[in-house]
Amino acid sequence: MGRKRKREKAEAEIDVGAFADIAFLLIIFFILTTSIVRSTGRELELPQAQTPENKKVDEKTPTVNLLVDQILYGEDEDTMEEITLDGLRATLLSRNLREAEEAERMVVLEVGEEVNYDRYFKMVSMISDVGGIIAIVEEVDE
Amino acid sequence: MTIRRRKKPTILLPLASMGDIAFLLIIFFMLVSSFMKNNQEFDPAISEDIIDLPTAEISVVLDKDNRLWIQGLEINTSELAGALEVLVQERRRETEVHVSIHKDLPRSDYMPVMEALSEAGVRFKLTGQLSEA
Repeated sequence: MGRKRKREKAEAEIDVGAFADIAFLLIIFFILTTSIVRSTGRELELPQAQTPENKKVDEKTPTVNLLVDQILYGEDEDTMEEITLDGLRATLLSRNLREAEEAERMVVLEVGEEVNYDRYFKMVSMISDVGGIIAIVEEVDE
Repeated sequence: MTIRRRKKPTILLPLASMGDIAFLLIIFFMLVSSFMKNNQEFDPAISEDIIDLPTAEISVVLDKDNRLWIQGLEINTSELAGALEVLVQERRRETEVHVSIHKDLPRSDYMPVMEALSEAGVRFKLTGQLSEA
C-alpha cells in the first residue's frame, strides 16, 4: 500500500491592487467634482409679523422711502428729503444704532412698487450692516 | 570555484489596507458632498455690505420665473411659513436659513416671501454676491 500523497493546499489570493486603483480613481473624481460653495449675505432682523398688536411706528423713527430712482429719508412725512445710499449710511452710522436699545434700532422701510430685488437688497444689507432693524410697512385700514 | 547566487527577496506590499483607506475617503466625500437640483435659474443680487456666511442648513430660493423652492422642492408662497416652521422644529436648534432671490424680481414677487419669512419667526439670512467695487 502506497503512501497517501498530501494534496498541496491551493493558495487563494484576491488581487487587491486593482481594487485600490478603482478606489483612488473614485477619490480623484470626487475631489475634482466637489465644489465648496461659500455663501455671502447678511442676516436680516425683522420684527415678528404675528404679534398680538403690531406696534405703531413712532413718529421719530427714521423712515426710508426706497423708490426706483431716488431714496427719501426723514423722521416723519413732512421732513422727507432726497439722499444717496452713502449719505444714508453716514446718517444712520451717526445714530450709533449698534449701541442703541432694540426699539431705537428700528428703521422703517417703505418700498416702491417698481423697485427690483437688487435695489432692495442693497438697501437692507446697508441698514443691517449699520445695526438697524428693518420694519416693513404694512398699511392698515382704520 | 562556485558562485552562489543570492536569492532575490520578494517584496510584498499590503495593498488591502490601502484599499480600506481609499474607500473611507470615498465615503467621506460622498457624505460631505451635496447634490443640488440645478433647475433654478437665478442671478444673485449684489451689495458691498455683505459678509461670508456659514453653510446653509435650510435653503429658500425664489428663481427668475418667480418659482419658490425650499430645500430643492417647489412650493407655494402660502406654504412657506408652515414648511419653515416644521423644518426648524425638526432640527431643534438655531438653524441657518439662507434666502436667495433673483435680482430682477419686482416688489410684488419678493415681498410676499419676506412677509412669510417674518411670519415663520425664523432667523434668516439674505444671500447675495459681494460687490467688487
